[in-house]
Amino acid sequence: MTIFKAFLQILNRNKIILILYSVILIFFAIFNTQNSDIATNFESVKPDLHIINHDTEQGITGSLVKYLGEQNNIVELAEDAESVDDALFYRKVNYVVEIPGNFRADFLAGKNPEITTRSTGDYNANLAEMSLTRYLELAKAYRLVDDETGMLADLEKTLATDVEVELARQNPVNGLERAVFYYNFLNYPMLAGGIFMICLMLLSFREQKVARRIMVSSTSPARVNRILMLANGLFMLWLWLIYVMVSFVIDFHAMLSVPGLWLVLNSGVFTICVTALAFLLANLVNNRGAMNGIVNVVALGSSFLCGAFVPLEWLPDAVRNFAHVLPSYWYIDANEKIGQAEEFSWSNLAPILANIAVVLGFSILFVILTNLLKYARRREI
Amino acid sequence: MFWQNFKYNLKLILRDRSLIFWTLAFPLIMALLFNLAFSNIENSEKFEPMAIAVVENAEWQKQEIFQKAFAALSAEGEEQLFHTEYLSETGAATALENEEITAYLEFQNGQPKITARENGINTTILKTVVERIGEQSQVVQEILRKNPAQLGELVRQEAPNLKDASRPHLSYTMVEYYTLIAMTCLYAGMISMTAVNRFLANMSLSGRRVAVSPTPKRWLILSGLSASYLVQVFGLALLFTFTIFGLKVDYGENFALVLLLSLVGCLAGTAFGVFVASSIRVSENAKTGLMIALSMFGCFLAGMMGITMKYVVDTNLPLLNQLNPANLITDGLYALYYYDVCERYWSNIITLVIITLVIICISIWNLRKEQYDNL
Repeated sequence: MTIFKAFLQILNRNKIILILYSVILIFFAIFNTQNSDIATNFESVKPDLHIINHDTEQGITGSLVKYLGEQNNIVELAEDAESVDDALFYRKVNYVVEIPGNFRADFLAGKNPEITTRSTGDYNANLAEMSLTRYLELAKAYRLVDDETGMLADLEKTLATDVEVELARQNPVNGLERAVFYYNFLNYPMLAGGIFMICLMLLSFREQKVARRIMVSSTSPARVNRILMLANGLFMLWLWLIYVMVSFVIDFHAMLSVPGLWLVLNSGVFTICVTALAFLLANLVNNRGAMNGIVNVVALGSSFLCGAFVPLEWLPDAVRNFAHVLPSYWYIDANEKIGQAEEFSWSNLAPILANIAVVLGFSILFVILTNLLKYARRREI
Repeated sequence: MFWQNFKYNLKLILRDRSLIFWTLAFPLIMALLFNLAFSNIENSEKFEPMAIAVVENAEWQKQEIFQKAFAALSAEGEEQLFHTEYLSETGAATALENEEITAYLEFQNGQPKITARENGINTTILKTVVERIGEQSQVVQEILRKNPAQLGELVRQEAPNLKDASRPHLSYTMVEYYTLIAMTCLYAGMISMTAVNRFLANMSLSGRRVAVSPTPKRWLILSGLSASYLVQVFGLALLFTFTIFGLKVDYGENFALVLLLSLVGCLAGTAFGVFVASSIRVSENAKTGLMIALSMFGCFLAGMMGITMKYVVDTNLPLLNQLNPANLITDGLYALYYYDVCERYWSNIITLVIITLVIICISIWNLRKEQYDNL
């Protein structure tokens, strides 16, 4: 009990760190804009577009502005050029169209007035430009045979044509995107918080004076080790349960589904792995300064390289291949597979179970390495 | 006296492995991780021809305009939009199921129909293209009906006159590296704080000895701060070397101004450390925690954990970021990269200098009023 009380005291003294990691997790989970609505019908993607119109919004100019507004998501910005350029850089808008003052008059006079555009050069910007050129090409064609009124009527009729699109599958598959994001991001606080705490605990008990006192006390070292393992295991269980509860608060319906419960199971196995890794690292480091460095490098490194911060599909192939040697990769990959599974048949479950087995394999490896290190270290005391 | 103390302080800093890790090695590790994680993000946003299929049935054989258009849009070159496969209906459905294609196009009763795997930008682009091709025949029919003589003119039409005025430097991941420079500058505060703590009588035994020694404290503190600044400038030089030559980070065309801003930023970080050391009476660990928390919060607002945060704060709470040293450094580097030299850069640097001077003055005042009857 004395050992357990000491454990709780150390935990209490360092609770701020755990709270900090948890706040970061909850902050990112709540502000993650991905929604989990299930779309069954086709919906066109609308790029973010800003229009600077120096002409009066009448006739062809008014019609162009209206059409661009229908095809794109119009974003209002401050008037100055710097605000527009900033918005483009930070992808608040994908495309900016600047219509000159005499656009309508010049266009009706048969000229090809210059329209200034600014673009982010990505898919959305290309789509926005397609809507602009589509309108202008049609308008120029109808200008050959119509006056302005006839041209606008023809344009409206032609642009109303709609091609039927059928979706082969629902998107997203099981409405679990927010939950998958949360459990992927969980990799960071679990590693950083878990390893930090366990290392801190074990280092405190491994301080030479404390270790010597334990050696000469009536309590056997084996019993001390058992209590410490139990206390650390209980701490990790408590940490995991809190994070699972938070996930239910954030997206209750998704978490109550079968795939949601698979996410919980996967994170449970990963918690076992983090506990084993923390025991190994605690046996590798000798002082708190080194511990802080190792915790940050391991937690941030695993999170960056394995897809906790940046989705796995966006990582370069070389990084993804390297990430296979880290347990976080198999944990996050399993989360992604759970998120994409259309139904939980054996063919879908097999790869998820394989990932979970790999994480368990890592845990066993860490336990073996820890025992080898401990054996070597006992001789030093 | 100054040089002697400067040398001792330099030795003390370099022997503190934990301090050296956080100020010199940690930014390099972060830069490497940023590079590994972010290097592909912008490439994935660049437009690549998408894989689609066309159901090659009897109806398709009648669609001459579509056949020609898809052949042209699938031809290799800069204008290529699609990689098109011509398959049977079952083959197209299987290819879609196996995720080999994004969508397929088929004609039913003379009307085009797209079957796609999911909603998304690729499906929208294909739909827009199919609609545009379909419009061509409508336009031709309308002209033939109203004035057939203009048909030749239609072929000779010029493309819309669009002038692309986009700025050349649009790589937003660069801002992540700029926040890292800001973080490194502010971490100078950790070294200067440790150096000043050594001279404070309430912080350590050596501080008590210094307090009763005849050596003027200003020389001791100045030598400590000079050594701190030198070490952090060395750290910055390492980070610049690594990011420029190793990671190919683009700092724009005015590297001299980048250096000027970084040196001022380092000075601000150093002053920040003195301010925390002299103004707050808590343990050294608590001061270090506070330094890291404040620096990281500043970097968070400057966009380190996602550049959108910087834009949101800049547009909604501009004053907060105008007083945030991490943002002033990041924004100055951003201004040099995106706008070249501009008023915004100088405004950032002047604000940073003013903030630095203010906290130096407060720190001097705090240090001068330190007096102890006993300890």
